[in-house]
Amino acid sequence: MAGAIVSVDVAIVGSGPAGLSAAARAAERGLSHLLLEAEPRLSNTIYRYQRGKQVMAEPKSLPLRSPLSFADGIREAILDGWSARIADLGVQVRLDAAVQAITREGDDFRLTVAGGDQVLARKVVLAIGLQGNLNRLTCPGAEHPALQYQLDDPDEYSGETIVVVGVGNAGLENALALTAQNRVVIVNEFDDFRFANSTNEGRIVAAIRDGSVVCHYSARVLRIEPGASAQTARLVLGVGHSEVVIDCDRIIARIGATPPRAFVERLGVVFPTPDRNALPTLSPQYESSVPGLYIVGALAGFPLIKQALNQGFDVIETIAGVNVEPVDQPMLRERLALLPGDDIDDRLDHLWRRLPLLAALTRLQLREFLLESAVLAPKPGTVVITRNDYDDRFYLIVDGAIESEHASGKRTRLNAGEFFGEMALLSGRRRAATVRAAEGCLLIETPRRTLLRLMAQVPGFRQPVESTFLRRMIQTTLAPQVTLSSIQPLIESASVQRWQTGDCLFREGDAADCLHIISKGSVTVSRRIDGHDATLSYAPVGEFVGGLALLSETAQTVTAHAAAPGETIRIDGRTFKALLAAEPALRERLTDIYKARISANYAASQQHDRSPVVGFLMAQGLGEATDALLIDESLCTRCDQCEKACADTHGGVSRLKREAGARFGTLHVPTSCRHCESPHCMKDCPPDAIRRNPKGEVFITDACIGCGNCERNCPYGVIQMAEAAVERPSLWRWMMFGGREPGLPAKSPAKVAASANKKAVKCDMCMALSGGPACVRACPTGAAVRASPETFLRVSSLT
Amino acid sequence: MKVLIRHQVTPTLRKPPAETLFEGERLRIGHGADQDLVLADLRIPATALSLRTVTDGRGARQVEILRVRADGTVETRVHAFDSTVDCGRHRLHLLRPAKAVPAEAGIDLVVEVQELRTARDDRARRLDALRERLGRIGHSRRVVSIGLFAAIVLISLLLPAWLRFGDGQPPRSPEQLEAAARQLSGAAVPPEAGLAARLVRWRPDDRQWQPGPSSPSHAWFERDCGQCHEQPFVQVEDRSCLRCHETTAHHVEAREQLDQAEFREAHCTDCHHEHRGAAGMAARQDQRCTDCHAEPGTRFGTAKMTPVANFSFSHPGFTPQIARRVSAEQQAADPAIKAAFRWIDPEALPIDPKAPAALPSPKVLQSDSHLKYPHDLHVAQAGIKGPNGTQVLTCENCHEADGSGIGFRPIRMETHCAECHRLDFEPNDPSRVVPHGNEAAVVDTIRDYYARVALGGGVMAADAPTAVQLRRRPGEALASNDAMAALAWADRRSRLVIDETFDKRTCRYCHTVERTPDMPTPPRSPDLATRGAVLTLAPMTISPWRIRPLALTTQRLTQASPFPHGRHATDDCTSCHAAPQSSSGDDVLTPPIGRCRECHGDRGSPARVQTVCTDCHGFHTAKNALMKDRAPAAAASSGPDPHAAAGVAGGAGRASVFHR
Amino acid sequence: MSTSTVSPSPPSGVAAAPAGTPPSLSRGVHDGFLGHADFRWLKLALLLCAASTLAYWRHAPVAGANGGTWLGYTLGGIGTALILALSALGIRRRRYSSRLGTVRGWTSAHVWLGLALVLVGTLHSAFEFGWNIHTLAWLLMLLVVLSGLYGVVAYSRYPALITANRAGKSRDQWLIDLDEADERVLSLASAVDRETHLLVLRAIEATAISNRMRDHLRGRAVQVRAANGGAGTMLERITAQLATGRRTGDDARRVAELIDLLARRHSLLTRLGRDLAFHARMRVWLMLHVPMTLALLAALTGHIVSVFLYW
Repeated sequence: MAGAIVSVDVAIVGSGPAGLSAAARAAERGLSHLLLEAEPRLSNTIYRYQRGKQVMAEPKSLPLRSPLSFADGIREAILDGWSARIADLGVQVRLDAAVQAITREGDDFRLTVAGGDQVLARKVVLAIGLQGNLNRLTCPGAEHPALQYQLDDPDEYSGETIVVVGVGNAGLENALALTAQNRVVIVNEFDDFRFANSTNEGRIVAAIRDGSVVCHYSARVLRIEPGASAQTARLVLGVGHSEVVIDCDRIIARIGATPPRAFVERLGVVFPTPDRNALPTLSPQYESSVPGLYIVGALAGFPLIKQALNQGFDVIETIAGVNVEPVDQPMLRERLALLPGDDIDDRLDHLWRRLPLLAALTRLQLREFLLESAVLAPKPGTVVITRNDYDDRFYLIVDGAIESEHASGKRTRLNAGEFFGEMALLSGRRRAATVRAAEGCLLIETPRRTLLRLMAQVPGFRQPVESTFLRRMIQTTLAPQVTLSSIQPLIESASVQRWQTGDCLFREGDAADCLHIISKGSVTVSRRIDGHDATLSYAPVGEFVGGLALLSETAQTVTAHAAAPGETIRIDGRTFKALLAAEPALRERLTDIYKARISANYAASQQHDRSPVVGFLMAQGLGEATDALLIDESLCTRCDQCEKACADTHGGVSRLKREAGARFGTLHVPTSCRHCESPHCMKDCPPDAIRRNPKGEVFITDACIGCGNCERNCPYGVIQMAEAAVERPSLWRWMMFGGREPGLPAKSPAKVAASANKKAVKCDMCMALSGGPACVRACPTGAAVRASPETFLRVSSLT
Repeated sequence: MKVLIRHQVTPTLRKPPAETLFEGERLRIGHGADQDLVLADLRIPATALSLRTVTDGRGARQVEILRVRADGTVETRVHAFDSTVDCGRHRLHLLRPAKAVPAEAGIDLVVEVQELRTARDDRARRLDALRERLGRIGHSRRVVSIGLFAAIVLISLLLPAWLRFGDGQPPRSPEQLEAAARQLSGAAVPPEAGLAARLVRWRPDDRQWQPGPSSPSHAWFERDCGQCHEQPFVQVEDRSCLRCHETTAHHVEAREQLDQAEFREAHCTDCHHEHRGAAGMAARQDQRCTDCHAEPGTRFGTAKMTPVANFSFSHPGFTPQIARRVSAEQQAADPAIKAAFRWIDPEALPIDPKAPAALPSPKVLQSDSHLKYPHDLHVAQAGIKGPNGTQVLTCENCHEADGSGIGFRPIRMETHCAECHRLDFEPNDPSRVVPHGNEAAVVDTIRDYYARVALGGGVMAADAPTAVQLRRRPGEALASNDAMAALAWADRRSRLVIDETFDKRTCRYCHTVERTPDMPTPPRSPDLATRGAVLTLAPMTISPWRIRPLALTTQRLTQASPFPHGRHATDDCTSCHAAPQSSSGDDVLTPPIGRCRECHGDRGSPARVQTVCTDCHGFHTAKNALMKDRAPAAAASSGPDPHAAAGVAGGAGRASVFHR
Repeated sequence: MSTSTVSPSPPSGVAAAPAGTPPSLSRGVHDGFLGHADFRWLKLALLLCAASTLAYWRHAPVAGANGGTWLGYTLGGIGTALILALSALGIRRRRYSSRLGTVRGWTSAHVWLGLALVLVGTLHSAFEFGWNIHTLAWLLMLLVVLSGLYGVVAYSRYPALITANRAGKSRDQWLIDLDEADERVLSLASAVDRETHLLVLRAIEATAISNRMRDHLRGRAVQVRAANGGAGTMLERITAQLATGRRTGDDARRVAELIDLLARRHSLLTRLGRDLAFHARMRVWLMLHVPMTLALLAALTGHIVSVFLYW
C-alpha cells in the first residue's frame, strides 16, 4: 500500500520525555513538526511504570527548561499533565508509527513508517531511548490488545490466564514470576529450554512438573483470535500437525529485541567504541556525525527525565537557529570559578593543557565530566583522603601538589597533571593512604560513576588510568622501595586477568611461571591435605599469591581460587626473577614475607576443622564482603529479634531474612547485605542513588526511583522492593492490647507486592544510628554478629 | 436413571461446556478411572460418592447420596434438587432437569461439576493453612500477664484500701475502734480451723498487709489495722498507743530533762516494733540506752549519772543500799530524820567495777543491821546444835522463795528462829515464854507471871517472904499485908528477870539492847514507819529496855529491777552470796558485778548469756511523769496549755496521777 | 517461594566434613550473653551479693533484722530498682532503635543481676515470711528467677539441638516437602489399590498440628489423629497391609516406593514434631516468667504502697 507522504521541518522519533519536550517546544515555536511514536500511546516507558509510582525529578539542582512541567509526583499526574499540555500546544503526533528506516534525501531525511507512510523532514531528532526495538509477533491478530511485549510488574496481574511466548531467560522469568497469582501457559518453539540459563531451566522444569506452568513444546503461534470478551483472546497454536486453542486473558511475547545501536548505526551515526554500552558521538548541540540528525535522551547518555526534557528543548532551539546556552552553563561557570581564564572555553582549554588525562575527551564529554565533578582548592595540610576510609572519589591535580602517606609511613608527592584515588575506586577496597594537600593545590574531584562511565566510553581515558593503577599496584604491593625504572619491565610484562568466583588462578603442582597481585576481589589459597582441599589463607586486594614458588624455584605448592569476581595482575615469572636477581633488598624483603607465610600456612594446615568453615564462608560469597552478618545457631534462640529490629528501625521492612541462607554446622549466613567491596548493586543505578560511606556502608538514598536494577543485580538477594510504613506501631499499645507488633510488617506480602510506591531497600548498617547495626544490638544472646572477613578469618587464624 | 453430566467452564481452558450422558443404576463419582464421573482429585476416595434419584413418601423426587468417608464408613443422605454437594475441590450442583435441559425427555438429573479450586490453589491453601498453624504457635502471654497484674492489684491493693478507707469516715474514736476491734476479733477464724476453712472465710481486707503476726498482747485486735494505723501514709502515732497505755510512766521525772530532744522527739515506735509475733514489742538493743548513757554529761549536764557504754566493760559496780545508825544528835539536828536509821547515798560506797569475779570477803561492806546473825555458824557444814540435836541448815531453811520468782518471804522469828532460840525466862517453868517483837509485852508477861506466882504461893525461893513460900488451898485469899509483901517480891523478882531476859540471856543474844531513858514517853502502840522495805520498830518506852530496830533490806539494788532469783535457782546461793564466810549480821552479801559478768555480757560478746540493758533496768521508771505528758516545752510552745504550764511550773508536782 | 539466591550447595570441602560438627569458628567471633563484656555483670552481681551479705551480717537493728531498718529499706530499694530494671528488658529488647546498651548486655545483666536479686530480696525480707502480700511478692520473685534459670539452661541447650534437627532445612521447606510427599504418596497409593489409597488418605487427612502446649512439650505436636494410634502405627498398618498381597512387576515396584515414601514422610513428621518440641521447651518458661513478672510487679506495688500506707 502506497503510504501518504508528509513533509515537515522536524521529525521527532520517540515520544519519551526528550522527544515529547522537543515536539512541545517545536509546537510552541511554530515549527512544522511531527512526533512519531511506535507505541499506541505517548511516553510508553513512563506509562509502563507501576500504577501510582512516585516519579522523582532528579537531579534537583538542575533547572527545568521545557514547555512541559515536571516535578516530583505520581506517574499518572505527570502523564496527565503532559498530555494536556501536548493537546494545548497542538503538537502533531502520530501514534503506532514505528520508524523502520531513515534515509538521506539530499539535505533532508526520508522516514519510512510502519504501514508504509513516509515523512520527509529537514531535521530529525532521534529520541528513541535505550529500550531497544522489541521483536514482535507477525501472525494474524497481532494487534489484539491482550498481546503485550513487556512485563513490568508481575504482581499487577492476578487470577488471569496468561500465555508467555518465548523461552529465553526474559520469558521464563516472566512466566515464573506470574505463577504466583496466575495460571501460566508457555509456548516453547523447541523441545527443550536451550536458551535459558541453568537456574531458570531448573525452575521452569520444576514448575511444569508441579503443574504451576503448562508448557506446549514444539509449538508456534498461528494466530490470535478475539476471545469471549473484548479483553480476552484466543490463541491458536500449531503443535505438530494439530492446533491447540488457548483461551487467555493476556499474551506476553518475549521473543527478543533488536538493540537500538544497530538501528542508529544503520543511519550512519558513528560510535566511539565497539563497546555495547557506548553512546554515539555527539556535538555539544547533540548533533550526530550525520548532519541534521540529532540524538537526545537516554541514547545520548542522559537517562534522567529532567535532563531529557531539557535536551528536547535545547535541540529544537538549535534547529531553530538559536545559539542556546546549555542549561548547565551557569552551573558549569560556578564549578569552574576557581580555575584561571576568562570564560568557560578558556578554562576548559586550560584544563586540557594541564591534564593529559583529559586530552581524550570531547568538549561535550569534558563539560559533562566537570558538571559532575567539583573543583577544590584545599588549604595546605588539608586531608583530602583518609586512609582506611571506604571512599571512591577520583582526583586530578590541576595545580600544586599533594602528599600521600602510606601505612608503612612512606610518603609520596604527586604534582600537577597527575591523578590519584583510582586504586580504591577500581579495587573497591579502603583507601591505602592518607592524602594531604600541599601548597597551591587545586583539585578536581570526580565521583565514581562519572569516572567509570568515561572509562567505559573513552578508551583514551581508560588506558592511562588503568596503567597507572597497574603500576601503582605493583609498586605498592611488591616493591615500594624499588625505583620506578627498575620495575618497568615488570609493568610491561603485567597483564590484567578477570576471574569469576571459583575460578582457579593456578594449581598445586603447576609450573611456577607467574605471580598474581590481587587488584579486585579476593583469593583463597588452599592445599590438598588428606584427600580434600584445606583452605590455608585468604588474600584480599593488595596481597599477592604464587610468588613463593618463584622464590624457591619449585612448582606451585598451593592452589589459588577466586573467592569473588575480581581481577588480578599477572606478572611474568621470568621477569620477576630477573628483578629479584637485580634487587637483593627486594629479594630479602620477599623472603621475609614468605617465611612468615610458610609458618602461617603450616599452622593453618594443622587446623583441619577450620578449613571447611573457610571454604563454606567463601562459597557464600563472603570473600567479596566487607561486613557480613553471621549467626551462631548454637546461640540463636530463633526469636527473630534481628529481623524485627531491622524492620522497626527501617519503616517496617526487614532487610534481612534470618531463616534464609546457608548453614554449616551451627554457623549460619542469613540473607543480609555484605557490603561488597565492589557492590554489584551499584553497577546500574540510574539516579546514582546507591552510595558508599567512608565507613564502608553501602546504602540507598532517597533518590531511588524504584527501577529494581539493584534488586536484580544483587547476587545475594538482599535487596528488595518495598514500601516503608509511615507509622511506627506503639510498643505500649501492643504490649497492653496486642495489634501490630513493632518490628512486624504493617502490610501483608500481597499488599506490599501490589503497592506502587516501592523503592529499593537494603541494609544500611543502621548508619543513621550510633552504636552499630540494630540487628546485632537487638540480639539477646550474642548469636548475631557482623564481622569483616579479616575479623572472622583472623579469629580462625588463617590470615 | 439418566443423568446429564455437565462440566462448568474452567478458568484455565475456556472450552465449550462438555456434556456427557450417563445411564445406569447409580452414578459413581471419584478419582478412580473406572468411575462414571472422574474428578481429578487424589484427595478424595476412588469412589467418593454414588448417587441415584429416589422418590420420597409424598412422591417428590430427591437425590440419595452415599458418601464414602476417608475412614471407610459410608454415609447416606438425601438431597433436594437444586442443592450442591462438595467433594474435595469440586462442587456438584444437582439440578432439576427441567431447569437445565430444554425439554429433553428421560433425563432425571443434571449434575453440573464446578472446579472450586485448581489443584495448585488447593495445595497453596493447604500450605498456607499449615504455615499459619505454625506461625500461630507462640501462645500469647498478654492475657494471663495483664490479668494477673490486674487481679493482684485489685485484690491486694485496691480492695483492701477501699475496705479500709472507702467509707470516707474520719478516724474513729477509741471507743468505736475498740468496739470494732472486738467485733472483728470475734469474727476471726479460730486458729484450729483448717487451711480450707481459712481460705473460705478469707476476705481481701488489709490483714494481708501485715508483715507478721501481732504481739500476743495486741493480737485481740489485730484484724483491725486502723487501731494503730489511723491515717494512710502516716506512721503510727503515739496517741494510738497511749489510747490504751495512757498511764505508762516516762523514763525520767525531771522536767528539765524531759524537755530534751531525746525525749521530746522520741516515739513509741522508736523502741516498740509490732508484728514480730511472740518476740514481743520491746526493743532489745542497748544502743538506745547508751546513746545517752554512754556520756550522759554531754547531753544531760544537770543530771549526775555514771557513764555506761556497755555492760561487759563499762558498767559501774553495784551500789547496794546500806543502813546507817542515826545518832540522837543527828536526829535532834534534823527533824526530818525520824527513824534511827537512814539509807546512805549509794554513791558513797563505790565498788570497784573491775573487781575480780571471785566473791570478796563479806567484810568489804558493813551495814548497821542491828541483828546478830552469823551466817557462817548457821550454815556450817558440820551443822549446828539444836533442840533436836545437830542439824545442817541450808539457805532455803530460812530464805523461802515467795513464789514471785524474784524475792523471798520475810524471815519470821516464830517460824525460822524460835525452835532453837526459845524465849523462856523462868528456868523452873520453861514452857513460859515471852512474846517476840514487843518490849512492853515482854515486861508485862514477866510481871504478870511473877505476880501470879507470888499470890499463888508455894514458891521455893530463899528471898521470898513466907506468904509466898506457903502453900495455900485454892480459893484462900491472902491477907492484904501479905499480899502487898508478895507483890513486892514479885516486883523485885520480875525486875530481875526482865533485866536478865533483855540484857543477859534472851534478847541480847540476837538484838542490840539498850536501857530506856527513864522518862517514859507515849505512845504505847508501836510506831511503824516505812522506808523502803525496812521495818522500824519504835521503842517501848514503858519497858526499861529497848531493842534496837533491825535494818533489814529486801531490795538492795534500787537502780535495777528486782533480781530474778527464781531464774537463777539452778545455781547454788553461795555461789553468789558469801554467806558461809559471813560471821556478822552486818555483812552485806550482795555479790560484785564481776560475778554477773561471769555469765552475762553484751549482745555480740562471747558471753554465755547475752543481755541487754532492759533485762535489768526498766525504761518507764519515772514516778510522776507519764508518757502522755511528755514534751512539755513543745506543748507549751504550741499554745497556752494550762497543763503544760503547770507541768513546767510545778516540777514534780503531778503526783496525783502516779499510779504505781 | 524462597527468594534466596545463595547457592545452597556447599563446597566440596564441606561435604567431606562430618555432619553436625559445630565449627569452632564461632570462638572469638560469637560470644554468648553470659560472658558478655568479660563477665562484667557476673562480677557486679557477685559484688552486690557480697556487699549485701556483709551489711546484713554486720547490721544489728533495734527490733531485729527486718525490712523496715535502714538496711532493710536500702536492700528493698536496690531490689525494687533491680526488679524494675530487669523487667525493663522486656521493653528494651523491643525498643529496637534504643542505643541504651546492647540487648545482649541487657540479657547478661538480666541473668546475673536476676540471680543476685534472690539474695538481695531475701535479705530484705530478713527471713520473715507469712501469709501476706510481702511474702507473696517474694515468692513471685523466686518463681520468676527460677523460671528464668530454666530459661538460661534452655537457651544454652536447645538452639544447637534445633540446628542439628533441622539439618540445614527450614520449616517452610519441610512443609513443602511434606506436601509433595503427600501428593506422591496419594498418587502411588491410588495406583496400588483402593484400600491402600483410602488408608493413606485417612492418614494424611488425620495429620494435624496440635495447638496444645502440652503436646508440643511432649514432642507430640504433630499428630495423626486416628482412632487407634499415632503416625507410627498408621505407617505400620499400611506397611502390613501392603506386605500381605503378592505383588509383581510394576505393582511391586510401586509398593516398595510407597513404603519408602511413607517412611520418609514419617521421618519428616518426626523431625517437625521434634522441632516444635525443641521450640516449645525452649520457650515454655516464658509462659511462666512473663506473667509472673507482671504479677510480681503488681505484688511489688502492693507491697510498697501498703508498707508506706501503714508505716
